[in-house]
Amino acid sequence: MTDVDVRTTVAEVINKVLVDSGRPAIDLEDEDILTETVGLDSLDLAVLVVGLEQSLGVDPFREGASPVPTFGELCKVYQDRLAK
Amino acid sequence: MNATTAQVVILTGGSRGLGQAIAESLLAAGHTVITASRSETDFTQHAAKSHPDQFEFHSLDIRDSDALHALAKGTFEKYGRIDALVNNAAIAFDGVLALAKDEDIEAMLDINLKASILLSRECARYMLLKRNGVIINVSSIIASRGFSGLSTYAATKAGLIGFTKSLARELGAKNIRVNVIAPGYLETDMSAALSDSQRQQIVRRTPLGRLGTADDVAPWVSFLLSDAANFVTGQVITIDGGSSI
Repeated sequence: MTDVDVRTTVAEVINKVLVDSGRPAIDLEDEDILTETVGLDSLDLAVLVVGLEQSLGVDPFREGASPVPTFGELCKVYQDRLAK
Repeated sequence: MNATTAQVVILTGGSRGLGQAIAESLLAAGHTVITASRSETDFTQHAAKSHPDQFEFHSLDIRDSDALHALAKGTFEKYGRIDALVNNAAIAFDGVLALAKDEDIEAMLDINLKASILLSRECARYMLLKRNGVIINVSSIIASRGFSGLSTYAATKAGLIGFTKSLARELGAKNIRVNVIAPGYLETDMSAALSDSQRQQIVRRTPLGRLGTADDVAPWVSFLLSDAANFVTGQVITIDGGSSI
């Protein structure tokens, strides 16, 4: 899976979290802050991590990765993990 | 979700005692039961044969975090959902605290409390995905009433109540309910260790005049899974013949 594929998947899963809770999908930029800009609360972030585990087959945070604030950094956490 | 919909339920300690009665009650209601405990019993072998599509037994050490992770993950991957978790597995070592062994204290904390928290974490992840779920923690009236010789056991059972109330607040917004059932003294293997005088004292203090049975308690699990309990979360349901009033 390429870095672009991972980024696309992360964006899709974020938008699924938004849409499932009645919010509109958005175009994500790397510098978007997941909480303030995107509007995800702590439970949304939990749903996101589980959703990404389903889509990408890994949960870097269970393995010890530190939480990250932005969309771009979140993509990188998964890109780096999948590159291992 | 409603009372007649078959649900996928993970139940710890479902091989004997109260857990067996809960498993039987859930199977009779049409639910699928995935149960885990250290070893098989006649009941688990029989249930696996009589309900081959509805009953699974997993032999695991409930103190093994990786095994709990695998249990939840495997259940979700097989059934596509985990509707409910019943944290029932527990052990009790009777005896005055001043003479208690480290290993016995640790085993009670690990099995009764820590494993319940860890498995709740694992299952909550999948319940969050579905925005639906029920967690039931099996406590005891000893958590609130106290009982000489069972202080560590009481600590673990009281811990489950505090855990339940906070988790109910945390997960309520995602339609996940978390409740406690708190049985009184039951006629199970665990109470077989009671002395005659302890047993007589319990019966004397119980308005309904007897020890409870597992069958007095098990239907409450099905009730808390049902639509009828849709607006109940963070609560302690006490089933004790009135002994705690």
